[in-house]
Amino acid sequence: MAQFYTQAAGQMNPGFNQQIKAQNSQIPAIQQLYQTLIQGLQGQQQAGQLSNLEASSGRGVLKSTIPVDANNALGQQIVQQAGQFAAQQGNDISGIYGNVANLRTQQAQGTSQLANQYQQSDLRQQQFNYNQQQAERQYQLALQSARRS
Amino acid sequence: MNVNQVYDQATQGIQQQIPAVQQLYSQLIAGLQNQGQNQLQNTLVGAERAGVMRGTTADDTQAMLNQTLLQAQAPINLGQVKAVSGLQGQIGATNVARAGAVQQQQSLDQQGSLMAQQNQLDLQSLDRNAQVQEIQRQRAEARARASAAKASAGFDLSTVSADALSRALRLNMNSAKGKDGKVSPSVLAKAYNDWTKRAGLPAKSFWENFQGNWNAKQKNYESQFKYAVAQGV
Repeated sequence: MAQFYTQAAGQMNPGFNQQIKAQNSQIPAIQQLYQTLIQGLQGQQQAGQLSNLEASSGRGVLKSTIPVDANNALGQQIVQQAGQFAAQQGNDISGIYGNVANLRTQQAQGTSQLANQYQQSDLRQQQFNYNQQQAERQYQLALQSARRS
Repeated sequence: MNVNQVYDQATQGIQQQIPAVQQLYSQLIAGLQNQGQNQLQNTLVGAERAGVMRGTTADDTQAMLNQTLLQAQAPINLGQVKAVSGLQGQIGATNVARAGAVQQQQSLDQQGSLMAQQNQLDLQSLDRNAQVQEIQRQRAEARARASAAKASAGFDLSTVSADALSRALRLNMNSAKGKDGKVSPSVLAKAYNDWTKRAGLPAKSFWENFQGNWNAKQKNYESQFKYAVAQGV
């Protein structure tokens, strides 16, 4: 019953393909968002390092391990925060992929159900044709019988 | 296009997303490691500039960084596993849906096939019933003809009325009359036998029914009849 599936796919595909395309188009936007967040984080790190250096300079400990340790600790926090952003970005984009996958499943189910409806409609038409054929045969036989008797 | 091709497209589309997810997480890990390397360099440059670089500074910073990266990468790796298994689960769900769709498709195909077969059987049944009815009609006609012939021949007397029997016997005896206008004793005896034994009517009524008609033309009717009965014809 290929014609029913071809017909159903022709009906269902444009709508679903549009939705999938819309979902996929969100991925670059999410990547851009997190890139901006990381850049902001790096800006905060630079500001923090500068602050550390200025504070060390003010305390006369610029040439010591104090600002170096402080900046290192800040850097570790920045790496941790970047890791959280990366994990969150991964979740967000994976969510989009999951939505797309779900849409593909729904697309197949929708196409299949619509094809079934087309086929059921065709079966009803066939049944009508059969009934008509049988009624015609009954009429012809009754006519023959009436002519003989 | 058929049910399997539709579901193949869906599963292939989902399957193709798995490498994309893996690549995404690889890029995220690589970006984090770059971030770490930048941090290492930043610390080393700061120590150098401050003149506090020690022999163990690079190793210590690297060790601390590795620990931080390890902690940061764990949720990312977990996210990758969840994402890939989610897609694989979706493929599983799609295959389950495919099985249902294939079954439904087979059911509809079978329904169509059964309908066509049923139609053929119904048409055959109509033809056969018509044939049977025609045969029954022909036999009924034959029986009616035979019954009429028997009735007119005076052989089936038990179910007919006395009037009908009288008419039938009269006709029978008329047709059996010879050139001399007489009925043979055997015909008379058989008519009497039919009247009294097979039809169960009284002998007197036989005589009353036929005497008047026959006396005028056949003077020896009674004697012939009695003779025939006596002969046991």
